[in-house]
Amino acid sequence: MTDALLEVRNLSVHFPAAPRPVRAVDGASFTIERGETLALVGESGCGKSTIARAIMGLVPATAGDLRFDGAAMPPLGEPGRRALLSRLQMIFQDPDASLNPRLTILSSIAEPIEITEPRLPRKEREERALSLMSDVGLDRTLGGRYPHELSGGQRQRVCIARALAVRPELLVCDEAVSALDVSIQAQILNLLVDLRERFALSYLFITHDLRVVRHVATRVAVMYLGQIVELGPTDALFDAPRHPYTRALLAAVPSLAKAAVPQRARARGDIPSPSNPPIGCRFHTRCPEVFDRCSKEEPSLFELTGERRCRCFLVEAERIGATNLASASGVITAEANRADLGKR
Amino acid sequence: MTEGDPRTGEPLLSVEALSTEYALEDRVVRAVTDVSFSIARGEVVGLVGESGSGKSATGLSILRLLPPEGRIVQGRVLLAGRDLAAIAEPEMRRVRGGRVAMIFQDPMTSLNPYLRVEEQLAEVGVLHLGLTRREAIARAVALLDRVGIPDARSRARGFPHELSGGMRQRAMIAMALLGNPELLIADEPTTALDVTIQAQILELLRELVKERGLSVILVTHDLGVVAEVADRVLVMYAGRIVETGSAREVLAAPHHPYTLALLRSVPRLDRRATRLESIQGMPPRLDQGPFSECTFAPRCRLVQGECHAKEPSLSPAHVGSTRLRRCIRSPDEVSG
Repeated sequence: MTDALLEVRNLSVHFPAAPRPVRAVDGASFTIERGETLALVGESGCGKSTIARAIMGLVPATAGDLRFDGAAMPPLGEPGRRALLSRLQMIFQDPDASLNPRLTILSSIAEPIEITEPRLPRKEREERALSLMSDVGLDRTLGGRYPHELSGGQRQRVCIARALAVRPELLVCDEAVSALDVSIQAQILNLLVDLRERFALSYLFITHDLRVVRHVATRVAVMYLGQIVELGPTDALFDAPRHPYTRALLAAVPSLAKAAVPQRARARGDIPSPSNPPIGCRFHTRCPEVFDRCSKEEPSLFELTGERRCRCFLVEAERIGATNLASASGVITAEANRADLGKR
Repeated sequence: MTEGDPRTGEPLLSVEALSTEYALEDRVVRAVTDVSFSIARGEVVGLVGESGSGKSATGLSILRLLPPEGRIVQGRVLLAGRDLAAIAEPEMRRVRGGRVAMIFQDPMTSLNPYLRVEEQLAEVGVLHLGLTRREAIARAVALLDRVGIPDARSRARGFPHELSGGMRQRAMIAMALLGNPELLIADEPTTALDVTIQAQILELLRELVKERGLSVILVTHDLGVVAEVADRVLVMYAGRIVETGSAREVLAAPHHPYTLALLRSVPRLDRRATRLESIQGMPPRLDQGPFSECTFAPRCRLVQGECHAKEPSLSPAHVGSTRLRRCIRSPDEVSG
């Protein structure tokens, strides 16, 4: 962890609600290195989008520490935050909601440049916007058109160009390809990969689609009900998932190869509400491997190997099982505590 | 009943040369063009395509649920020999929710938020089966239980908004089953659901097919979903069927360049490709037909002069083959 662009430490985001607050994010920690793509993946209510919003300053963090390029990130509206505007940008699922329908494509892309570099002459600004259009694969002749005259894929390209206009270092993509047809989705994914190389970008890629994760991410954090349950390099995590939830997620993805999924890998029942997460391990109500400890104590995110983390008693016990099963429980607690302390 | 019996080879439903148009303010969009297929009892047919391919319009045409601007302009929809495109509306109403039921992506648009779940489900039993309200509710609760709604009796007394997305889709399936349908048209039934819940619902559909000999037309954009549940697949593009055959065979070795390109543009779970194959350009505008060339020609990697001469027909790849494709290139050229 030498060259962390973004550091998220023990981030919690709770939303006030009756009868109890919604614990959208509970103690999430991760880093994004320069040039890397970290994917946050999970189902509804897991907190992945809330993390993105907290990083962008769109929702206040309840607790925790956010650092960008080594310096604390001030909340939106506070001094110093404006300087971050051009360093991190976000694209969303629905380009229609991000684009002003009354602005031409060229004006939409030029607008952020005008805000961050107000002294740049109009001609140069438009030149840069036009060149961004080429960068994202849009024909320059579309510059005078309005969003409704473009297809969904083209509109998402406009949003990408607009985000790149201020030359950001980190691009947060929140379900950026989820609404697109697969043939168009493939175009946009290829584009995002190309742009990462060309502009030395880092991505925080938020998606529910594991197939997309495998394709774009260098590392993955799997989230469930506000917590990261497994974290690791993409290929290692997909080839040998450890957490029962990761295994259930992967098993649930409809596969073209149609390999029979062992029934025990499946997650049972419904996703509980994040306003009332289960006591103990949050996944225990659906876990095919649940045992009595899971409903009583909350597992911590422990270190599996140098780069992998997992939040599961069973996996933890397996790891140390070889050394001494009898005293497993005591060892786990001690190690978990140390790991926890180390993080804080 | 011998109609639609798999032993006699007679299909339950057969769609013949169906064409459907939407008359918009300033133009006419031909959403479905010359679609023909049939479905046997107990068979699951996947109708797959991207936005605007005509897959949903085909499903809606079968039950005549098109919006006011839409109408069937040609073709027949034979349900056990009777043409649903030609029967009177009151008769059609008995078919809907009776012999043929339909479920949609968003159960909330199909469920009345002001009615308790049991009341709206019971309606079907009263209307289609002539049950008393009490009998109909008992039947509804039994079906809610069957589709996996825990504590069905008390859930039935609740309102739709009290159910999760997955539970609502289960309730919709129960509602669809109430009239003892022979055919279920499921339009993107799992698209709005989380993936672990999607897996549960697909499993439920598989069980129901086996248990009840139900036929299913599964409209979806997801080739993975087709691979999981469909026996046969119809690939649609620009309102046309461009390829059809057993799901396993088509997905393993497509005979149409569009199917191949579609398959290759899906990122894979089991390995990382350096680059996804995307399809350049966009589908043709369907208000600008009829087309004098293959509708996929402008985007096709295998395009040749002849492809622009006329639109190919949907024909067997080899003499006597049950696999059809709308392409003049040989299957070897496509997959090779």
